Amino acid sequence: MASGGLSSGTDFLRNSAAAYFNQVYQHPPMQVAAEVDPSLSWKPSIQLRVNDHLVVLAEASETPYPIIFRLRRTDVLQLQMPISIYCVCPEEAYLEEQAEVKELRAHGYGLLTVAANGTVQNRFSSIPIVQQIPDAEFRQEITGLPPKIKRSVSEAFDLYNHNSPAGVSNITEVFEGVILKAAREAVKKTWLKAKDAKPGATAATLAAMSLAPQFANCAAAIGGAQAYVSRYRNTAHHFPKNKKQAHRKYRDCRNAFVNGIKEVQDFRTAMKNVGLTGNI
Amino acid sequence: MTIRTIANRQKATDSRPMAQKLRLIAPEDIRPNPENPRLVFRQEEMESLMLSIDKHGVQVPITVYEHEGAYYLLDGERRWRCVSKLNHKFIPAIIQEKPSELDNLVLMYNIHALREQWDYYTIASKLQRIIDLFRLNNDYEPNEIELSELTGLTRGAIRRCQLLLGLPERFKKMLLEELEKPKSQQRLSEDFFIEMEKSLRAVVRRVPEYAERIDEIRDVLISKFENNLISAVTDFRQLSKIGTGLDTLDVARGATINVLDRVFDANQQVGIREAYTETVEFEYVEKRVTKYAFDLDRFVLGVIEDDRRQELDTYLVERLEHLYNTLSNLLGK
Repeated sequence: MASGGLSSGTDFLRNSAAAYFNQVYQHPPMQVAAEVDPSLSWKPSIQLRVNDHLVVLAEASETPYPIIFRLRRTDVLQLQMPISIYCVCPEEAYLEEQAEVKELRAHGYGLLTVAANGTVQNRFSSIPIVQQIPDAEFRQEITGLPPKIKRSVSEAFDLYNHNSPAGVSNITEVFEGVILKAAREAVKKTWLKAKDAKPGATAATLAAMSLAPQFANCAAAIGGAQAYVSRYRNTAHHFPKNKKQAHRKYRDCRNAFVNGIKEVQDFRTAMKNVGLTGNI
Repeated sequence: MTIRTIANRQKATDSRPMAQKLRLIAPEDIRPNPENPRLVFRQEEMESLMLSIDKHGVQVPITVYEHEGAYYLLDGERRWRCVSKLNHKFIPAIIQEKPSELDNLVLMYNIHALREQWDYYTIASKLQRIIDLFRLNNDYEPNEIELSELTGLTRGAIRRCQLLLGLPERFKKMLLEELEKPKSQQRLSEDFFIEMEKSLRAVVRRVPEYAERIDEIRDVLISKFENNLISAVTDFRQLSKIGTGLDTLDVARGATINVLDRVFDANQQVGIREAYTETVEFEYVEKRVTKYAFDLDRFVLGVIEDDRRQELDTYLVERLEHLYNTLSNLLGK
């Protein structure tokens, strides 16, 4: 199948997208209508291995949300490699099918549109599907947080959607900020010493909390925070050596981000329960 | 020559039974049929087939012939495309003997024409080859009826195809490029070219001077259509009416040609609709009203003759009285 697309109009779209990817990723190894993995029942129009950390797949389609995306989403998630997926559709279809476009974006796919003269526009990017957090899930997770933290977490989410390790670092910093505030309030109440509430020493702060008798009833929240910080603090800095490690790293990013929000919620509640009612 | 005729001929020339084998073949070993006139595959129909294949597999084997180590499709390009997209390792296929070029083409037409409406360009692209091969085998060119019988196409479809076939190569290429674009980006359709050609034939028949610059005229009309000066494909029917009006209506030939010159001039911002209004629209209305007037007169004479005045509807009588007054004013009586 020469085109790699289903319909006959997809050659033009595929060629335009290939030129775009060549320009953006500086001529990466590119395959047309080739197998991604023997277990995946889908040969995308284009696939390119940007590096060991990222495989980009693109499907040329006359509509913004090709049906193969719905059929194969779960299968793609099973593959041990980080995969970003784009739809390449005509500009006219993008303008006419806004409902499909919204859905495509919400499901974590990227979209390139091609004008009649072949000009390609990146409408929105795709992050590897394995690390994608749907908007609806995110909104549900932040319900109940105070506005100031909500804003910080939303900013971290925005960053996550462009660069997930950086987004995770950001949410971890938000969490560390919450811990520090609780510790400073505890210092005011003389539950902790001033040296236990210093910025950049979260592990020491949590250790001091766990030893203070006033925090005896929130050992679980403190333990959870200790585990979270030690596990995810440096997620962004571990450089994966191969696509399997990269896949794990991106999957961890997703878990780190979602768990980060949960930990912030749990920690705030626990601190309030022990009497720290300040601006945590 | 229908499928049955081909099969009979094969029986006559080859006493052995036709070898047909059912095999599972890797999709990458299959090539599209070089004679398949079908060039256009629409996303919707392809996705719906792919969904079915994903769910139930390929229920009907495709048909191929083997040639120099590869398999060529006789029937089933859509199934093959879907199976390739779905990364299936094998597809069930019936392997037939390699047909002659004419048999192959005729098979393609008959297989596809039975199932769904092909695009005209798809049909036209190979129709000329069928005509040429037929001439080679029979020493004469097939007429419309023979072509219809051979391909399974209606005579109307063949006539439309021939309009496309008559286009210079440059315009055929333009149309093919357009058809290869996604549907939402296609501006010039087969209908556009068919309607344009029909109307130009009608005009050139009455004003042969235009024949010399017909390609230039085509370019101007395409450009005006792309720039919305000609807003719909159906406008070309009005262009035909301007042409035929030169024969059938009482219009000034010089003035009409003058307006047509402006339509065929890239520098004049004149579309077909304005030209139609300026030249023959009134005359066509006049012609239509003349017929109404004749019918009305005949009806009224009939009523008088049969003495059925009392049966006339009151509203009709009112309208006739109104018409009588209007006509008196118009005719000054």
